[in-house]
Amino acid sequence: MEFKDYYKIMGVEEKATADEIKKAYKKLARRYHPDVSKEANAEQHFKDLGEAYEVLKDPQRRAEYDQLRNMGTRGKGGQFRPPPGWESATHFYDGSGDGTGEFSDFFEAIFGRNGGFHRSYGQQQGMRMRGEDVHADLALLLEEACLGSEQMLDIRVPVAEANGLISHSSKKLKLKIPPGTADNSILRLKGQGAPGLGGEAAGDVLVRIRIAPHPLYTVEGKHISLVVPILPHEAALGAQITVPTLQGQTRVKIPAGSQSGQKLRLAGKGMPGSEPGDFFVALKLVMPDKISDTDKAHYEALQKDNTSNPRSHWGKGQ
Amino acid sequence: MSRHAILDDNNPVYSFVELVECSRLDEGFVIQCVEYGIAEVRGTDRQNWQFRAEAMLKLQKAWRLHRDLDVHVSSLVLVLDLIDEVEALREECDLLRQRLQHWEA
Repeated sequence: MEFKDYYKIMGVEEKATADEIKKAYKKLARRYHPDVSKEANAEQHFKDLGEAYEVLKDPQRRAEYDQLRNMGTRGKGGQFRPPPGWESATHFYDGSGDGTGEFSDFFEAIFGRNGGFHRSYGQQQGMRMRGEDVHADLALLLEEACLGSEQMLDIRVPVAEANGLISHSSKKLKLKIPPGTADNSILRLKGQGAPGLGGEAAGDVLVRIRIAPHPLYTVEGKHISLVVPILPHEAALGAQITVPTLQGQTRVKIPAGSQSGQKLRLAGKGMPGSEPGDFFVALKLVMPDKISDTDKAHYEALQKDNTSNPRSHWGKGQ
Repeated sequence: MSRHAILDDNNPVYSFVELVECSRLDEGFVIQCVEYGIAEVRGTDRQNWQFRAEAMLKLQKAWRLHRDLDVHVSSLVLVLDLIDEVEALREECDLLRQRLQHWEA
């Protein structure tokens, strides 16, 4: 297994004082806390940091770690294994019961699973407790969220073992996404979380939906927008065009004299629901790729008869 | 092996007792957070309190910040408001960037 250098993780010297270790922890915890950090792998960094701090803040555990750090066998590629017959003298567990007690194989090899941080709130005989909720994020394509879809969700569920310790098992759930599911909405799968103890109910799975950016559409709440390119003559004279909405092709009337950037609203064609959202067509005036001689003649005639100035608000001479 | 999950609802609501049971948060901490306005709650007294799932997740986040970063409950309102504001600005920035990409495409 990989050797974990807790001093390096915390960015402190081997001779660092307890105060220096505490300061380093606070500084890095702020940097890598998954609730505030946008750093890559913040969650893993934070776990490593928590593990390192749990060991280095305690003089006895730190002394054991230091001893192993100097004695432990390291093979190729920095692989580590504790000396034969190694047993930790420290016995403690994290009774917080809030999901913080998952540590690395390296940690367990040193301090043991039984004497480690694994939660053990189920070990008392006859204890009754509702199962823990499991939280998950699920990324969906806009089409999948808007029209509804069936998704497969992989989750890790904490399970109380017979000896009272907590392990994790993988579980696959088939989940039906209702049409019109909004970004950031939370779906609850009742009773699919961790099993309860002593006959109590299982926990739930709470799934937060995240809608991936779409190459064509932008979504704001329940409203959907699409940029639609139109030609100068369509803007000037008006036109009937076909626009792809998520529910299918829709005919849209471009009013004569439309401006670039103008928005047309298709009521109720956005995200479906009891109060469906709207679909906005944002007109974008574009020139054709090639201008023929006939087109050029028409533009020259327009230029000759033109009396308007779109830059008049800048003042004279524009 | 996959199992077919039954979608309970997409706007779950919790009473105070349910919230404490499901979130595994300390009752006193939840009450303090409600008093400081950290979590939105409907209902006038504790027996009638109703929390949305978002409020429960926010309370759990508040607890993690309190526990891991020593943020005092009285400061959590400010910290969480600032986190929400940064998050909202990031999302707005992403949306504007996406619109610009569509416009320039």
